Order: sequence, then C-alpha cells, then structure tokens
Amino acid sequence: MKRLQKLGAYLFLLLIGYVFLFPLLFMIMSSFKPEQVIFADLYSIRAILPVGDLTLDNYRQVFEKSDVLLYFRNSILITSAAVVLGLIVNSLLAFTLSRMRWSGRKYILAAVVALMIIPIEAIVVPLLLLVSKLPTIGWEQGGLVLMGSWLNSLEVQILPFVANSFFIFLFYQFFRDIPKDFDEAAELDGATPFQIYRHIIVPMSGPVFATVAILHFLLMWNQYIWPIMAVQGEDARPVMPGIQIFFGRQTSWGEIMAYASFVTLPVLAVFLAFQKKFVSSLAGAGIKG
Amino acid sequence: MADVKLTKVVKRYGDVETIHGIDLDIKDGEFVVFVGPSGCGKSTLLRMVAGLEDITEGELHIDNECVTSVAASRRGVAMVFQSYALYPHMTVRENMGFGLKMAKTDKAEIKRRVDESARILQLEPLLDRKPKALSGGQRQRVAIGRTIVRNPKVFLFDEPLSNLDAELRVQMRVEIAKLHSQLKNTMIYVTHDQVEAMTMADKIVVLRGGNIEQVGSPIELYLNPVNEFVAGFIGSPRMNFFDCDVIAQTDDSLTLKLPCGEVCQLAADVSRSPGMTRVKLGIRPEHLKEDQSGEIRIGVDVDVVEHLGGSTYVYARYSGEHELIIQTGGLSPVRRGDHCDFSFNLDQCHLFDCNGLSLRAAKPVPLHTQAPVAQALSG
Repeated sequence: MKRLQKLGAYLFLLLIGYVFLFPLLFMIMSSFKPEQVIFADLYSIRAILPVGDLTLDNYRQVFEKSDVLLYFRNSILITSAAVVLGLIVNSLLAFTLSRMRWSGRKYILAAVVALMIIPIEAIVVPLLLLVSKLPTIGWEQGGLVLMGSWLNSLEVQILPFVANSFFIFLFYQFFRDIPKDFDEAAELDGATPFQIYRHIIVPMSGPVFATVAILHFLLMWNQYIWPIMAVQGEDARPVMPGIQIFFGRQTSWGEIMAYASFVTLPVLAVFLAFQKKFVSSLAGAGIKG
Repeated sequence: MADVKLTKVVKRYGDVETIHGIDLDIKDGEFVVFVGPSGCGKSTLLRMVAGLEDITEGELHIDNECVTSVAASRRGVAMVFQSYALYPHMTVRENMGFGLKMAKTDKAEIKRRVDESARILQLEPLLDRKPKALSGGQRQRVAIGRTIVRNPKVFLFDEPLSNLDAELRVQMRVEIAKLHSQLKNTMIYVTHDQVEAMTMADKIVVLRGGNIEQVGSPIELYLNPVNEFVAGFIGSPRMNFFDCDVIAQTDDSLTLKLPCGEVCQLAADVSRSPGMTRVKLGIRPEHLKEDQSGEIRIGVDVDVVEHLGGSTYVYARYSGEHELIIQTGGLSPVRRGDHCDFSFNLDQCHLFDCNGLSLRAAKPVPLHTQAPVAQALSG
C-alpha cells in the first residue's frame, strides 16, 4: 500500500514536472528543427526530444534578420548595472533601517513596505512623463551641458529600477536577524557604520545578496513594458522588446524558438548557478518561495 | 593610570529612568564586578561605560578624562560580549586584528600584537581557524584575545561565562583572574552569578532597580551587608530570614522573641529606628549547626536533603511555616521527614529593620581576605 502511495506521488510529481518543463524543452528542441519537422512532431513525444533533422539554421537566420546581439549586449549592460547598483543601494538602505537609530526610520520603513504593493504598471505613465523631462548631462565644446531627455537611452532603463522596495525588505529581514553584538563589537573596534556594513554585515549576508541578485536579474532581463514605452530606436533596445519586433517580421516558428532560446539561456545559467543559495536564503529569510 | 569615575550617572529611555544617578569610583587596576538580579541595570551601566549607550545625565571619567560624549572606540575600552560576537567569516587571527586594522595599524605590528596575545591565551594553534571550528571555551578566549590586542585602558566583560558549561565556567573564571594579575588593567565585569562575583572581584557593586545597594570587597559584603537585599543576594545558598517580635529595646540592644517562642538579646544600633515592633533576623545556612553547641536551638522538619559530597543542603521548615536552608559540612545523617534540632550563635546573626536596613554593627573584615583573588594567584 505504501509502495503504491509512493508510486502515485512520484507519478504526480512527474506530471507536474512535465507541465513545467514541457514549454522549455519544446522551445529549445524546436529551435534546432526546420518548420515542417516542428509541426510533424507537434503531437508526439518527439516534440521535446532532440530527434530528426537537427540544424542550426534557425539561429543563423536570427542573427542575420535581427540585431539580437546588440539587444543582447544592451540587456547585459542594463541588467548588470541595475543589479550591481541595486545590491549596493538596497542593502545600504536596509542596513540603515535595520541597524542604525535615526529619527523617521519607522516612517521610511513603513513607506518601503507600502510601496511593495504598488505594481510598476500603476506608475509607469507618470514615470515616463518624469524621465521625458529629465535631461542628461553631456560634454560639449569643453563644458558640461544639459542634453535632450532620458528617453531612448540605457540609463532610462537602469536608474528607475535600481531601488526596489521588495529587495530592500528582503535585505531588511535578513539583516535584522544578525545579532547586534557584531555591530557593537565592531564599533568598539573603531569601525564606522559604513565599515561595519562593508566588513561585517555584507560578508555575513551572502545568501540574501545571491537571492536579490537573482531576483533583480530576472526582473531586469524580462523588462518588457517599460522599454517599449521608453525606447523607440534600435540602439538602446533590450532583448525582450526585440522579440516582439522579430515576431512582427516574416519569420518561421523555428526562428522564433531560436531567438527565445537564445535570450533564455542567461536566465537559466544564472538560476542554476545560484539555485542552492537562492533556496536556502528564501527559507532563511522566512519567506515562502 | 586608568581610574573610572561615574558621577551622578542617569539613564532614561523616553520617560522611563533605569539608572538613577550612580556615583562610583573604580581605581586603576581594580577588578570590579557589577552584580544584581535581572533588570537591575548592571549591563546598561557597563554599556554606558563602553559608549554603547548614551549617558542621559551625569559624567563619566576614564583615566581622568571626561568621556561622557566620546565615541566608544575612543574611550580606550574593550569589551567581551556574552555571545562572544566573533565575526564568523574571519579567522581567529583576523578577528583579533580587526580593531587594529580599523585603526590602520601597520600589518607587521598587527601580526606582532596578535601573536603576543595568542601566546598569552595559548591560542597559537587556533589562529587560522574560523570561530565555528572552535569550542565554547576557545571562542571565549578568542573574544578575550581580541580585547587584549587593542591594549585598552579598561576591560569590560558582559556576562562572558554565561554560555559555558559549569566546568568550563570555573576554568575560565580562573583564567580571567590570572589574566587580570598578569595585565593589571582595570576590569569591570558584569554577572548575575554571585559566586562569580565573590570569587573574582576586588570590589563588588551590588545593584538593584538602577541603584547601587552596596560597594565593597566580597568578604565585606558577606560579613556586613548594609541591607536585607544584599544579605540575601550575597552568599550561596541565600541567607535565611525570620520575622521576630521586639520585646524590648535599648540604645544598643534588642530583645527579640523568635518564631519558636525563644527570647534572646542581640547587640544592635537602633538609634535610626526607634520604637520598632518587628525586625527581621538573618542567619546564613552555613552558620546553622547540626550539633547543639550554638546559643539558640531550633527544631525543624526536614523536607529535602541534597548530598553534594563535600557538604549537604537541608531544606526544612521551622515553626511549621518558615522555610530555611541549612548547609552542613560533609555527609549529614539527616533524612527527609526527620524532625531535628539545629543551633546557631547570636553573633553570626544579622538584623534588619522594617525598611530592610541592617541594625548590626559592622564586623571587622580579616585583612588577608581583602587581597584580590588575582593578586593572590600571582603571588
């Protein structure tokens, strides 16, 4: 009876796993198949297996027909800049909120928590109005000048997304559980608040930094609505709006799958690399995954 | 020189005052223990000396310099925390050298001072280990080593032995006392364990409710507690107290009726409390004798007997309602359920008025007991 129950449980898990893995496997396998093979395999298990006439033609077509490498480079720049800056800014604010005493601290914390429930879609229009009026600082004829607006640039896709209330709260939760004795010992050792953050708190907070890095990476890599609104030209376009442009042209499903597989690879690589720390941190921070 | 002087020190959290104007002089090289029950303010006071808590009112002088508003790191103090507070991502060497690194000390000098401290505390084989690879006692030694490296004027210990098992606690107690005799720095030590206070201190400061109850050498506090609280707190097991009726009083004596009905006369300074009708008589468990050689004999009903090998604790009831503890030497033949007689001498009794203040004249403190434990060990 117990063995049957176990078998049933495994079958159920396999089914769930299949539901989640099927789209991913179908996408990757189809990216290596010609159009007619994709449709021939569609209703069989072959759809998710590397069988039949496998080819790299779809990828070749993607690189020829679109500026995917440029988009990819833009996404890498935007994502890495936002993640690195975000780790610094969000963790520093969380540090001051959780470990320093200053007037108004509770109100700022309340504001951070309140901001967590506001979706980006709700503020995207006012944000667009704001950045369209913000000038960039440039260098012309030997002096600093104010130029144009932030629109159609990489920074318009980075700076508004550096600070994130959810990540601040994640850091806050983690930092709050670190005993205060460490700060006080370091304070007696002559460390400034920033040195306490840099030398004591940050090295002890690896899991939460890994978690926030992954979540922020996913958030930035998958940005779609904002780049569509804030970027019109090709130069600053990231990969996700690029898919829409590519889809709008005359393309085959195999090429679309190749494009999608190509832009999904970094996400998979980052997640698999940090999976262990990510899961342990979610458990440690008392947050359900 | 590193005297520590607290002048009318007050601590308030909002409207709540937790330390009520404390005056205290700690001399250079003294080992002072703050002792008291939970919530008495001993740790707060230590943290105020350390600079980890602001001083609301009053002044703090260290080494004749007013440091009331000086940052913790500039007061010349180092602290050992109850939790050790060793940085888990650093090796023992890095932990010990962190303070010097923050002070931008030359690397060679950091190494020299860490090695020297490690030698004093026998930590050399552990220098490259992380804290998680150390035992509780080793961690405690590293925490002490971290303070030694900085060569502070004043060492502060906040219940450093609380997390250790009983055997290790005794061992570390001796090590800290030895360290004091070796370094001869001023040390302030906080504990709620009066045995630690009695065995380590040159001077004990007994605190209650944010006030100092009494300051003195361990034996001075044991022999001459100024009030009922100190009498009950110092000494283990704690002193027994009985309410007694005052039958007659003169300027220098009281005639009392004990709960068992026996009448006795004791020398007492009653000038502060004329017209008393009731007083409290205190007698330490170790001053109750199994033989009948004492001046006063009392009959008790034995509830529990604890044989500790070297001594026996007898938990009993006196006159039906008064609970008392008796400590006898060796293995006592007394058994649970027995009714037996014990005796005591009146000169070993303490008397307290209705406000809890002592009515007995101070007994002379033997000279040899005034020598600090640390000095005795070094001698």
